[in-house]
Amino acid sequence: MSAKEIAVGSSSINGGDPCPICLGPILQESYLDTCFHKFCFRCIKQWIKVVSSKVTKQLSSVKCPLCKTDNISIIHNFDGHSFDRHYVDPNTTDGFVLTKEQRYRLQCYYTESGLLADVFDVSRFWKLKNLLQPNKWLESWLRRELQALMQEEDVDIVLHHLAGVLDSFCKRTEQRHKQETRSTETFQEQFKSVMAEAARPFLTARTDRFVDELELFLASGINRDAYDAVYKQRLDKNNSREISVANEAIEEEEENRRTRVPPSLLLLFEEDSD
Amino acid sequence: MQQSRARLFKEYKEVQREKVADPDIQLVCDDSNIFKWTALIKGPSETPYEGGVFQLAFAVPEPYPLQPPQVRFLTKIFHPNVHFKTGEICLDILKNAWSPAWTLQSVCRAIIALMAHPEADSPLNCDSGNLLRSGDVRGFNSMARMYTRLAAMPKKG
Repeated sequence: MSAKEIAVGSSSINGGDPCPICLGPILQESYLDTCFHKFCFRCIKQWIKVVSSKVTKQLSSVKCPLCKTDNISIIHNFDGHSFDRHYVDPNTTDGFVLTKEQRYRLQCYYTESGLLADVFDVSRFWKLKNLLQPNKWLESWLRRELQALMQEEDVDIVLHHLAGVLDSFCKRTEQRHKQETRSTETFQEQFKSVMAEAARPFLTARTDRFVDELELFLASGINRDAYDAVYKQRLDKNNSREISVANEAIEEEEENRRTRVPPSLLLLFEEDSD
Repeated sequence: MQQSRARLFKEYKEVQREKVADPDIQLVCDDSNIFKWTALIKGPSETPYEGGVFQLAFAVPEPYPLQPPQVRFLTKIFHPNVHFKTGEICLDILKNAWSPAWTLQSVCRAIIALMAHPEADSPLNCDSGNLLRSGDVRGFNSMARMYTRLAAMPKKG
Protein backbone atom coordinates (compact mmCIF):
# COMPACT_ATOMS: atom_id res chain seq x y z
CA MET A 1 0.00 0.00 0.00
CA SER A 2 1.45 3.33 -0.98
CA ALA A 3 1.72 6.24 1.38
CA LYS A 4 -0.59 8.27 -0.79
CA GLU A 5 -3.33 5.68 -0.59
CA ILE A 6 -3.24 5.67 3.18
CA ALA A 7 -3.23 9.41 3.40
CA VAL A 8 -6.31 9.62 1.23
CA GLY A 9 -7.98 6.81 3.14
CA SER A 10 -7.56 8.39 6.53
CA SER A 11 -8.44 11.95 5.68
CA SER A 12 -11.26 11.54 3.19
CA ILE A 13 -13.74 10.38 5.81
CA ASN A 14 -14.30 13.71 7.47
CA GLY A 15 -11.85 15.86 5.60
CA GLY A 16 -10.29 17.11 8.84
CA ASP A 17 -7.75 16.09 11.40
CA PRO A 18 -8.34 12.80 13.16
CA CYS A 19 -9.23 12.66 16.84
CA PRO A 20 -5.94 12.86 18.77
CA ILE A 21 -7.10 10.11 21.12
CA CYS A 22 -8.40 7.35 18.84
CA LEU A 23 -6.62 8.67 15.72
CA GLY A 24 -9.82 7.88 13.81
CA PRO A 25 -12.28 10.27 12.20
CA ILE A 26 -13.97 12.43 14.81
CA LEU A 27 -17.34 11.10 15.94
CA GLN A 28 -19.75 13.41 17.75
CA GLU A 29 -17.44 16.35 17.33
CA SER A 30 -16.79 18.08 20.62
CA TYR A 31 -14.51 20.83 21.85
CA LEU A 32 -12.85 21.71 25.11
CA ASP A 33 -14.30 25.00 26.27
CA THR A 34 -11.10 27.03 26.65
CA CYS A 35 -8.56 25.83 24.09
CA PHE A 36 -11.18 24.53 21.60
CA HIS A 37 -9.19 21.44 20.70
CA LYS A 38 -11.39 18.93 18.95
CA PHE A 39 -12.03 15.31 19.97
CA CYS A 40 -14.64 12.57 19.68
CA PHE A 41 -17.12 13.11 22.48
CA ARG A 42 -16.65 9.55 23.70
CA CYS A 43 -12.85 9.74 23.61
CA ILE A 44 -12.46 12.95 25.59
CA LYS A 45 -15.15 11.86 28.07
CA GLN A 46 -13.27 8.63 28.68
CA TRP A 47 -10.04 10.52 29.20
CA ILE A 48 -11.68 12.79 31.77
CA LYS A 49 -12.96 9.69 33.54
CA VAL A 50 -9.45 8.23 33.66
CA VAL A 51 -7.97 11.47 34.98
CA SER A 52 -10.65 11.81 37.68
CA SER A 53 -10.24 8.20 38.76
CA LYS A 54 -6.65 8.97 39.75
CA VAL A 55 -7.57 11.63 42.29
CA THR A 56 -9.77 11.39 45.34
CA LYS A 57 -11.22 14.87 45.11
CA GLN A 58 -13.79 15.78 42.47
CA LEU A 59 -11.99 17.47 39.61
CA SER A 60 -13.35 20.76 38.37
CA SER A 61 -11.15 20.98 35.31
CA VAL A 62 -9.09 18.80 33.05
CA LYS A 63 -5.93 19.53 31.10
CA CYS A 64 -6.20 19.30 27.34
CA PRO A 65 -4.31 16.21 26.10
CA LEU A 66 -2.79 18.34 23.37
CA CYS A 67 -1.91 21.67 24.96
CA LYS A 68 -2.42 21.15 28.73
CA THR A 69 -4.76 24.12 29.01
CA ASP A 70 -7.27 23.76 31.84
CA ASN A 71 -10.84 23.27 30.67
CA ILE A 72 -13.95 22.90 32.77
CA SER A 73 -16.31 21.43 30.19
CA ILE A 74 -16.74 19.74 26.83
CA ILE A 75 -18.89 21.49 24.28
CA HIS A 76 -20.80 19.05 22.11
CA ASN A 77 -24.00 18.57 20.09
CA PHE A 78 -23.33 21.82 18.32
CA ASP A 79 -25.84 22.17 15.48
CA GLY A 80 -25.31 25.75 14.43
CA HIS A 81 -27.92 27.03 16.87
CA SER A 82 -27.29 25.44 20.20
CA PHE A 83 -24.87 23.16 21.99
CA ASP A 84 -24.63 21.10 25.13
CA ARG A 85 -22.00 21.25 27.82
CA HIS A 86 -20.62 18.28 29.64
CA TYR A 87 -18.88 19.48 32.78
CA VAL A 88 -15.79 17.82 34.20
CA ASP A 89 -17.43 18.21 37.60
CA PRO A 90 -20.87 16.60 37.19
CA ASN A 91 -22.15 18.70 40.10
CA THR A 92 -21.79 21.82 38.00
CA THR A 93 -25.14 22.32 36.34
CA ASP A 94 -24.84 25.91 35.20
CA GLY A 95 -26.02 26.50 38.76
CA PHE A 96 -29.56 26.25 37.50
CA VAL A 97 -32.31 23.66 37.71
CA LEU A 98 -35.66 24.24 36.04
CA THR A 99 -38.52 24.89 38.41
CA LYS A 100 -41.91 23.26 37.85
CA GLU A 101 -43.22 26.50 36.39
CA GLN A 102 -40.33 26.86 34.01
CA ARG A 103 -40.66 23.25 32.98
CA TYR A 104 -44.27 23.81 32.09
CA ARG A 105 -43.31 26.77 29.93
CA LEU A 106 -40.63 24.81 28.14
CA GLN A 107 -43.23 22.10 27.58
CA CYS A 108 -45.41 24.66 25.82
CA TYR A 109 -42.66 25.10 23.27
CA TYR A 110 -42.93 21.47 22.30
CA THR A 111 -46.63 21.82 21.42
CA GLU A 112 -47.97 22.98 18.10
CA SER A 113 -48.07 26.71 17.68
CA GLY A 114 -51.55 28.24 17.81
CA LEU A 115 -52.84 26.05 20.62
CA LEU A 116 -54.65 29.00 22.16
CA ALA A 117 -55.50 30.80 18.93
CA ASP A 118 -59.20 30.50 19.58
CA VAL A 119 -59.01 31.64 23.20
CA PHE A 120 -57.34 34.99 22.75
CA ASP A 121 -58.26 37.25 19.88
CA VAL A 122 -54.89 38.26 18.52
CA SER A 123 -56.21 40.17 15.50
CA ARG A 124 -58.45 42.27 17.73
CA PHE A 125 -55.44 43.09 19.85
CA TRP A 126 -53.68 44.48 16.82
CA LYS A 127 -56.74 46.25 15.50
CA LEU A 128 -57.19 48.11 18.77
CA LYS A 129 -53.45 48.80 18.92
CA ASN A 130 -53.45 47.52 22.47
CA LEU A 131 -49.73 46.96 22.27
CA LEU A 132 -49.27 50.66 22.89
CA GLN A 133 -50.74 50.33 26.35
CA PRO A 134 -48.20 49.25 28.95
CA ASN A 135 -48.53 45.73 30.26
CA LYS A 136 -47.47 45.58 33.90
CA TRP A 137 -47.41 41.77 33.93
CA LEU A 138 -45.02 41.51 31.04
CA GLU A 139 -41.83 41.61 33.08
CA SER A 140 -42.59 38.67 35.33
CA TRP A 141 -43.87 36.62 32.40
CA LEU A 142 -40.87 37.50 30.28
CA ARG A 143 -38.42 36.66 33.06
CA ARG A 144 -39.75 33.18 33.54
CA GLU A 145 -39.94 32.62 29.78
CA LEU A 146 -36.31 33.54 29.32
CA GLN A 147 -35.20 31.48 32.32
CA ALA A 148 -36.95 28.43 30.89
CA LEU A 149 -35.61 28.91 27.37
CA MET A 150 -32.07 29.89 28.27
CA GLN A 151 -31.88 27.56 31.28
CA GLU A 152 -30.21 30.25 33.27
CA GLU A 153 -31.15 32.01 36.49
CA ASP A 154 -29.87 35.45 35.73
CA VAL A 155 -31.59 36.74 32.62
CA ASP A 156 -31.73 40.41 33.64
CA ILE A 157 -29.66 41.69 30.77
CA VAL A 158 -31.69 39.95 28.10
CA LEU A 159 -34.90 40.86 29.88
CA HIS A 160 -34.13 44.57 29.96
CA HIS A 161 -32.83 44.44 26.43
CA LEU A 162 -36.06 42.95 25.10
CA ALA A 163 -38.23 45.19 27.24
CA GLY A 164 -36.27 48.20 26.01
CA VAL A 165 -36.60 47.18 22.38
CA LEU A 166 -40.34 46.70 22.80
CA ASP A 167 -40.69 50.01 24.57
CA SER A 168 -38.86 52.00 21.94
CA PHE A 169 -40.76 50.19 19.20
CA CYS A 170 -44.03 51.29 20.81
CA LYS A 171 -42.84 54.87 21.21
CA ARG A 172 -41.70 55.09 17.62
CA THR A 173 -44.95 53.63 16.40
CA GLU A 174 -46.98 56.01 18.53
CA GLN A 175 -45.21 59.05 17.12
CA ARG A 176 -45.51 57.90 13.57
CA HIS A 177 -49.05 56.82 14.15
CA LYS A 178 -50.09 60.42 14.60
CA GLN A 179 -48.85 61.30 11.13
CA GLU A 180 -49.85 58.32 9.08
CA THR A 181 -52.25 55.47 9.27
CA ARG A 182 -50.79 52.08 8.71
CA SER A 183 -52.49 48.79 8.35
CA THR A 184 -52.55 46.55 11.41
CA GLU A 185 -50.72 43.86 9.44
CA THR A 186 -47.58 45.91 8.93
CA PHE A 187 -47.73 46.95 12.56
CA GLN A 188 -47.89 43.29 13.60
CA GLU A 189 -45.19 42.24 11.14
CA GLN A 190 -42.90 44.97 12.28
CA PHE A 191 -43.42 44.00 15.90
CA LYS A 192 -42.50 40.41 15.08
CA SER A 193 -39.40 41.23 13.09
CA VAL A 194 -38.12 43.76 15.61
CA MET A 195 -38.60 41.41 18.55
CA ALA A 196 -37.20 38.41 16.70
CA GLU A 197 -34.12 40.34 15.77
CA ALA A 198 -33.59 41.39 19.38
CA ALA A 199 -34.15 37.91 20.80
CA ARG A 200 -32.38 35.76 18.25
CA PRO A 201 -28.83 36.03 19.61
CA PHE A 202 -30.08 34.64 22.92
CA LEU A 203 -32.82 32.21 21.94
CA THR A 204 -31.49 31.09 18.53
CA ALA A 205 -33.70 28.34 17.09
CA ARG A 206 -36.60 29.05 19.44
CA THR A 207 -36.81 32.74 18.60
CA ASP A 208 -39.78 32.70 16.23
CA ARG A 209 -41.87 30.59 18.53
CA PHE A 210 -40.92 32.85 21.42
CA VAL A 211 -42.15 35.90 19.52
CA ASP A 212 -45.44 34.11 18.84
CA GLU A 213 -45.78 33.33 22.53
CA LEU A 214 -44.95 36.90 23.45
CA GLU A 215 -47.59 38.16 21.08
CA LEU A 216 -50.10 35.73 22.52
CA PHE A 217 -49.39 36.77 26.08
CA LEU A 218 -49.67 40.45 25.24
CA ALA A 219 -52.87 39.83 23.31
CA SER A 220 -54.36 37.93 26.22
CA GLY A 221 -54.24 41.06 28.34
CA ILE A 222 -54.30 39.03 31.53
CA ASN A 223 -51.68 38.44 34.20
CA ARG A 224 -49.27 35.55 34.35
CA ASP A 225 -51.25 33.32 36.69
CA ALA A 226 -54.47 33.69 34.75
CA TYR A 227 -52.61 33.11 31.51
CA ASP A 228 -51.00 29.98 32.93
CA ALA A 229 -54.36 28.69 34.07
CA VAL A 230 -55.80 29.00 30.57
CA TYR A 231 -52.70 27.48 28.99
CA LYS A 232 -52.56 24.54 31.38
CA GLN A 233 -56.22 23.80 30.97
CA ARG A 234 -55.74 23.65 27.22
CA LEU A 235 -52.61 21.55 27.56
CA ASP A 236 -54.50 19.01 29.65
CA LYS A 237 -57.37 18.90 27.21
CA ASN A 238 -55.00 18.47 24.34
CA ASN A 239 -54.29 14.80 23.93
CA SER A 240 -52.10 13.69 26.77
CA ARG A 241 -49.94 11.62 24.47
CA GLU A 242 -48.47 14.65 22.85
CA ILE A 243 -47.56 16.08 26.22
CA SER A 244 -45.89 12.90 27.35
CA VAL A 245 -43.82 13.01 24.20
CA ALA A 246 -42.96 16.60 24.96
CA ASN A 247 -42.11 15.64 28.51
CA GLU A 248 -39.79 12.94 27.33
CA ALA A 249 -38.10 15.39 25.06
CA ILE A 250 -37.58 17.78 27.95
CA GLU A 251 -36.32 15.04 30.20
CA GLU A 252 -33.95 13.87 27.55
CA GLU A 253 -32.69 17.38 27.15
CA GLU A 254 -32.13 17.67 30.88
CA GLU A 255 -30.52 14.28 30.98
CA ASN A 256 -28.02 15.38 28.39
CA ARG A 257 -27.35 18.51 30.30
CA ARG A 258 -26.44 16.89 33.57
CA THR A 259 -25.61 13.28 33.96
CA ARG A 260 -25.81 12.66 37.65
CA VAL A 261 -24.46 9.14 37.57
CA PRO A 262 -21.18 9.05 39.49
CA PRO A 263 -18.25 8.58 37.12
CA SER A 264 -17.17 5.39 38.83
CA LEU A 265 -20.49 3.74 37.96
CA LEU A 266 -20.18 4.81 34.36
CA LEU A 267 -16.76 3.27 34.19
CA LEU A 268 -18.07 -0.05 35.46
CA PHE A 269 -20.87 0.04 32.98
CA GLU A 270 -18.62 0.67 30.07
CA GLU A 271 -16.21 -2.04 31.05
CA ASP A 272 -19.09 -4.49 31.13
CA SER A 273 -20.25 -3.60 27.69
CA ASP A 274 -16.87 -4.19 26.13
CA MET B 1 -9.87 -3.58 23.95
CA GLN B 2 -11.32 -3.04 20.51
CA GLN B 3 -10.57 0.66 20.78
CA SER B 4 -6.91 0.18 21.64
CA ARG B 5 -6.56 -2.34 18.83
CA ALA B 6 -8.05 0.12 16.34
CA ARG B 7 -5.80 2.88 17.53
CA LEU B 8 -2.69 0.70 17.41
CA PHE B 9 -3.61 -0.32 13.89
CA LYS B 10 -3.81 3.36 12.94
CA GLU B 11 -0.38 3.88 14.45
CA TYR B 12 0.90 0.86 12.57
CA LYS B 13 -0.26 2.35 9.29
CA GLU B 14 1.20 5.70 10.22
CA VAL B 15 4.55 4.11 11.06
CA GLN B 16 4.65 2.39 7.67
CA ARG B 17 4.06 5.75 6.10
CA GLU B 18 6.59 7.70 8.16
CA LYS B 19 9.41 5.19 8.06
CA VAL B 20 11.29 7.24 5.53
CA ALA B 21 10.53 10.51 7.29
CA ASP B 22 12.17 9.65 10.62
CA PRO B 23 15.47 7.84 10.08
CA ASP B 24 16.25 7.82 13.81
CA ILE B 25 13.33 5.61 14.77
CA GLN B 26 12.37 2.20 13.52
CA LEU B 27 9.21 0.89 15.15
CA VAL B 28 8.26 -2.71 14.58
CA CYS B 29 5.12 -4.43 15.69
CA ASP B 30 5.24 -8.03 16.88
CA ASP B 31 3.98 -10.35 14.12
CA SER B 32 1.38 -12.01 16.28
CA ASN B 33 0.55 -9.43 18.92
CA ILE B 34 -0.30 -5.82 18.19
CA PHE B 35 0.23 -4.98 21.89
CA LYS B 36 3.92 -5.82 21.69
CA TRP B 37 6.29 -3.55 19.82
CA THR B 38 10.00 -3.05 19.60
CA ALA B 39 11.82 0.03 18.46
CA LEU B 40 15.34 0.72 17.32
CA ILE B 41 16.44 4.26 18.03
CA LYS B 42 19.67 5.95 17.08
CA GLY B 43 21.66 7.60 19.82
CA PRO B 44 21.46 11.37 19.34
CA SER B 45 24.50 13.06 17.86
CA GLU B 46 26.88 15.03 20.06
CA THR B 47 26.08 12.76 22.99
CA PRO B 48 28.02 9.75 24.27
CA TYR B 49 25.28 7.63 22.70
CA GLU B 50 26.10 8.78 19.17
CA GLY B 51 26.65 5.93 16.77
CA GLY B 52 24.78 3.47 18.94
CA VAL B 53 21.50 1.79 18.10
CA PHE B 54 19.31 1.10 21.11
CA GLN B 55 16.49 -1.36 21.27
CA LEU B 56 13.32 -0.54 23.21
CA ALA B 57 10.54 -2.93 24.17
CA PHE B 58 6.97 -1.66 24.33
CA ALA B 59 4.22 -3.43 26.21
CA VAL B 60 0.95 -1.66 25.43
CA PRO B 61 -1.74 -2.02 28.09
CA GLU B 62 -5.33 -2.76 27.15
CA PRO B 63 -6.69 0.67 28.07
CA TYR B 64 -4.18 2.36 25.74
CA PRO B 65 -4.12 5.26 24.89
CA LEU B 66 -5.83 6.11 28.18
CA GLN B 67 -2.85 4.50 29.90
CA PRO B 68 0.77 4.90 28.80
CA PRO B 69 2.69 2.04 27.21
CA GLN B 70 5.39 0.38 29.32
CA VAL B 71 8.73 0.98 27.71
CA ARG B 72 12.16 -0.27 28.66
CA PHE B 73 15.59 -0.41 27.10
CA LEU B 74 16.60 -3.87 25.95
CA THR B 75 20.04 -2.54 25.10
CA LYS B 76 22.29 -1.74 28.05
CA ILE B 77 22.68 1.98 28.49
CA PHE B 78 24.51 4.12 31.00
CA HIS B 79 22.09 6.95 31.65
CA PRO B 80 20.91 8.50 34.94
CA ASN B 81 17.22 7.95 34.14
CA VAL B 82 17.46 4.38 32.92
CA HIS B 83 17.78 1.46 35.28
CA PHE B 84 21.05 -0.26 34.46
CA LYS B 85 19.77 -3.79 35.01
CA THR B 86 16.11 -3.71 34.00
CA GLY B 87 16.18 -0.96 31.40
CA GLU B 88 13.27 0.78 33.13
CA ILE B 89 12.92 4.42 32.09
CA CYS B 90 12.11 7.31 34.42
CA LEU B 91 10.23 9.74 32.23
CA ASP B 92 7.25 11.81 33.36
CA ILE B 93 5.24 11.31 30.18
CA LEU B 94 5.38 7.56 30.72
CA LYS B 95 3.92 8.03 34.19
CA ASN B 96 1.71 10.83 35.50
CA ALA B 97 2.27 13.30 32.69
CA TRP B 98 0.96 10.86 30.11
CA SER B 99 -1.51 12.21 27.57
CA PRO B 100 -3.48 10.09 25.10
CA ALA B 101 -2.26 12.39 22.35
CA TRP B 102 1.18 10.76 22.56
CA THR B 103 1.87 7.92 20.16
CA LEU B 104 4.47 5.15 20.25
CA GLN B 105 6.40 7.14 17.66
CA SER B 106 6.33 10.34 19.71
CA VAL B 107 7.28 8.40 22.84
CA CYS B 108 10.40 7.25 20.96
CA ARG B 109 11.17 10.86 20.15
CA ALA B 110 10.74 11.78 23.82
CA ILE B 111 13.15 9.02 24.81
CA ILE B 112 15.72 10.27 22.29
CA ALA B 113 15.32 13.72 23.83
CA LEU B 114 15.82 12.23 27.28
CA MET B 115 19.06 10.60 26.10
CA ALA B 116 20.32 14.00 25.01
CA HIS B 117 19.14 15.75 28.20
CA PRO B 118 19.55 13.51 31.23
CA GLU B 119 17.81 14.53 34.45
CA ALA B 120 20.46 13.87 37.06
CA ASP B 121 18.16 14.84 39.90
CA SER B 122 15.78 11.92 39.53
CA PRO B 123 18.18 9.07 38.87
CA LEU B 124 17.36 5.42 38.41
CA ASN B 125 21.04 4.82 37.84
CA CYS B 126 22.71 6.44 40.86
CA ASP B 127 26.30 5.99 39.68
CA SER B 128 25.50 7.76 36.48
CA GLY B 129 23.48 10.46 38.25
CA ASN B 130 26.20 11.06 40.82
CA LEU B 131 28.85 11.58 38.16
CA LEU B 132 26.76 14.30 36.56
CA ARG B 133 25.73 15.84 39.85
CA SER B 134 29.30 16.07 41.03
CA GLY B 135 30.14 17.87 37.78
CA ASP B 136 32.23 15.06 36.34
CA VAL B 137 30.87 15.36 32.81
CA ARG B 138 34.01 13.82 31.37
CA GLY B 139 33.72 10.80 33.60
CA PHE B 140 30.05 10.43 32.75
CA ASN B 141 30.69 10.79 29.03
CA SER B 142 33.43 8.22 28.94
CA MET B 143 31.38 5.67 30.91
CA ALA B 144 28.34 6.25 28.73
CA ARG B 145 30.43 6.04 25.56
CA MET B 146 32.05 2.85 26.71
CA TYR B 147 28.69 1.16 27.28
CA THR B 148 27.44 2.47 23.95
CA ARG B 149 30.43 0.80 22.26
CA LEU B 150 30.00 -2.39 24.24
CA ALA B 151 26.26 -2.82 23.90
CA ALA B 152 24.84 -0.59 21.20
CA MET B 153 27.26 -0.90 18.33
CA PRO B 154 27.68 -3.79 15.91
CA LYS B 155 30.72 -5.82 16.80
CA LYS B 156 33.55 -5.42 14.36
CA GLY B 157 35.26 -8.34 12.74
